[in-house]
Amino acid sequence: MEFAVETHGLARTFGAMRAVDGIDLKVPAGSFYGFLGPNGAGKSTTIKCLTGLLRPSSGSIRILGIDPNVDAVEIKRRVGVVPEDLALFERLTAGETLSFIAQVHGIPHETFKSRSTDLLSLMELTGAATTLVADFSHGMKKKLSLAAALLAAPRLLFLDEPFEGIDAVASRQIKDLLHSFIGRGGTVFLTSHILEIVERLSTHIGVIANGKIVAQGSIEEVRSGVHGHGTLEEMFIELVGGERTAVDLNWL
Amino acid sequence: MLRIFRAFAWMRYRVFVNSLERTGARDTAERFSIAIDKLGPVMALVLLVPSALILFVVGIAAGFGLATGAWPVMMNVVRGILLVALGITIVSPLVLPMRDSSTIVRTLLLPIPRQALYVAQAIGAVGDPWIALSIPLLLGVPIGLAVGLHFVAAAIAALASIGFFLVIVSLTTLAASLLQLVLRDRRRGELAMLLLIVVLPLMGILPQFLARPTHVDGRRLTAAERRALPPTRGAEIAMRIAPFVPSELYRRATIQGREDPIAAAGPLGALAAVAAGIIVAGFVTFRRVLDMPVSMGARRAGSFGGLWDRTIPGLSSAASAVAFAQLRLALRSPRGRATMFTPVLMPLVLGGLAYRRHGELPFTLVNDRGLALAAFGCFASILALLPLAMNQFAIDRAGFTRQMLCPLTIRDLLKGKAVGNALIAVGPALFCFVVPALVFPGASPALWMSLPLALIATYLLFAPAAAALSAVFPKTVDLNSIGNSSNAHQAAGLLGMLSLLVAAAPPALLTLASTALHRTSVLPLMLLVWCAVAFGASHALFIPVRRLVESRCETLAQYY
Repeated sequence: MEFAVETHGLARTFGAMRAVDGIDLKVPAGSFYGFLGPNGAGKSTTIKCLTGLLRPSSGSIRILGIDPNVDAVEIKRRVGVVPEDLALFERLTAGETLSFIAQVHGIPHETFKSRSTDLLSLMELTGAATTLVADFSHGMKKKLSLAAALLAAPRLLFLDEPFEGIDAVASRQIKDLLHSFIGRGGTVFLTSHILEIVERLSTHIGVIANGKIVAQGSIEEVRSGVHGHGTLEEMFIELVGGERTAVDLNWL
Repeated sequence: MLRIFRAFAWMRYRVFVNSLERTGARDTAERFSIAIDKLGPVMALVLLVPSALILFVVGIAAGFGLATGAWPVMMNVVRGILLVALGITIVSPLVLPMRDSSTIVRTLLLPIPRQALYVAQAIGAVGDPWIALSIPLLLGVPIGLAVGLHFVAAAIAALASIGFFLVIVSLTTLAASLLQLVLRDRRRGELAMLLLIVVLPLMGILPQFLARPTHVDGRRLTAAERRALPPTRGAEIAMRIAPFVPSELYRRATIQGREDPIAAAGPLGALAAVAAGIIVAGFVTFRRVLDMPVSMGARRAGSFGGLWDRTIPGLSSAASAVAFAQLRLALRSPRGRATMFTPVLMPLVLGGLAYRRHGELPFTLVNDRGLALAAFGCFASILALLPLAMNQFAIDRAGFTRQMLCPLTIRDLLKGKAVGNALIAVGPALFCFVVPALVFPGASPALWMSLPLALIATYLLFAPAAAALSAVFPKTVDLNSIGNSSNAHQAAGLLGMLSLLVAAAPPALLTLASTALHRTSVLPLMLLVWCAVAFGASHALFIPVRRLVESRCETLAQYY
């Protein structure tokens, strides 16, 4: 099987804390991979390592078959990212942000024009194309970050909470878009706390807790590995440490 | 009410302590960088105690001097310090970072009456050093009078001190609220900031217009002749306003309290009226801020005829995109505009001074005022770059992460940044060169030709130093402010200034040597050769800088 993302013993430490503790990720090419974990489990650190924002403390990474230590720029050419903080220039407009991405990728001007028109229209940002990003709402920034990730027609998308703060209509359109992206051979690596979305979209999932992978594979494979055949939420809770004892706030 | 004030005081204390303790540093270089950055406030805090003691002694000496009729100069010292405190109180909200509007929103959600919020805000102003330092001075004067056994005068001085204290405390709240109201509309706010950028440097020449002229009919006046002249129109206006300035009211109330306590009621009443007026105006303005504390309005940006989509000749498309992003950051932020406009104002300010001094400039680099003006303005154009160039990665904030996610090599990033910074400086430098050249074209053409060459050579050596220092000393900044919060890291600023002086030294020495040897005609050739040397040296210096920035990218991507 060909893997779009493959890691061996990937670890990242911050002082004494091991945020990511020797994980072996295998994301099949052409899959929709949902990367799940509770808060502070190491999801964002993993994505930052995979996208080159953080250097791993140990272990190896291969993205689309390329070692980042050998050719990180080539990987960035083929990958689109919606990071946790969206990473946008506040004093560029939406149109200029896309133009910046196009210039860095070396996309010809005419191609850029047609792609940016499509993307701004899809994200309902056409009217805001000349507005500074600093004046955007969080949802608008998220849409623009997604448009920026898609502009260079990547083969692999890393999306960190892409549906958070996005309205239902745009969310639906983005889901359709991601489906068609997968249909054309692309790979999506997505983190989300909305388990219903992950369950509906993903073909494969990986679950991380305390920096370690606790389950990985197709949804069916993961489901067969845990007790019962419940929803993804039930599987998730079982995998990351079971039900928490509810605190009775009887003073409330 | 007391419970609320205690909670506010504790919150401010924790915010201050946490800012010193919880640095979140990721490596040794960053810990070092943050430690140096924190050194300023810690030093200020340490110096506050002896300063307060000195001011207390000054206040006592002024009061005692007033009681005994000795040291009249001390009261003038007090008057001057209070005038400065008053001025800083008005200006500080403009140049210091804006208080976060989200804090106001948070307090609005709590069960606190608006009056209590206003009082808490005003009391919080006591934490500003110039207001905190006014307190021992204001306390010292009545104590000094009491020590001099003038108890009625001491009581009057104490009332005047309270009045003046209320004036500065409420004035700072009023100024901050007014600024917040202006900046609430983003377009209006940016316009206000632009006006401020233009007005602030021009205020530097204000004393020249208040002072009596130095020349009449082309002849330089003696000191006695100047004193005999009637005051200027500006000085007349200033003298009419002066008696109503709170620091002057304070001085009059205190002095008259010693000489004629009944007559002191006039300035004391006026001071109380001014304080009451400012408190009421401050509260009304604060209420308006509370009604809608968030910013509104969306700013649109021009496309400059598709300029931003073009590629700068000699640069890759990626480096060109970085350069234009840097230029747009300067064009669209108040601090960036200050960088571009301040040097442009230099010839105007110096021209104004020259006009008042009958063509004389306050300095003479060479025997030609046009060339001197141009050289000064061009150097100021690079100097004004320091806040942006010395923090060139962190000023992009989240945009730096975007660049790291793009297929952009560090080489292209550095090239783009260096060219972007040069583009920011080239506009004002060109203006500072062309305008004096047209108005005062006197000096030899060789010297005029040498100036741009000297500038290019200086910038070529300065650029790698700026990139290296930006990588080692990043700082999260707010480019909406034109004060300290938009400045680069203190260490980067200082070392950057030194590196600029070092880079400018060889062209300056070559110019001095050729002028001294009366060989200015060969200066352009010598500087052309030096430019070639500087170009090679710059290339060589950028190699280790590239490695340094590569090793610091992970840390730099966290500065937003």
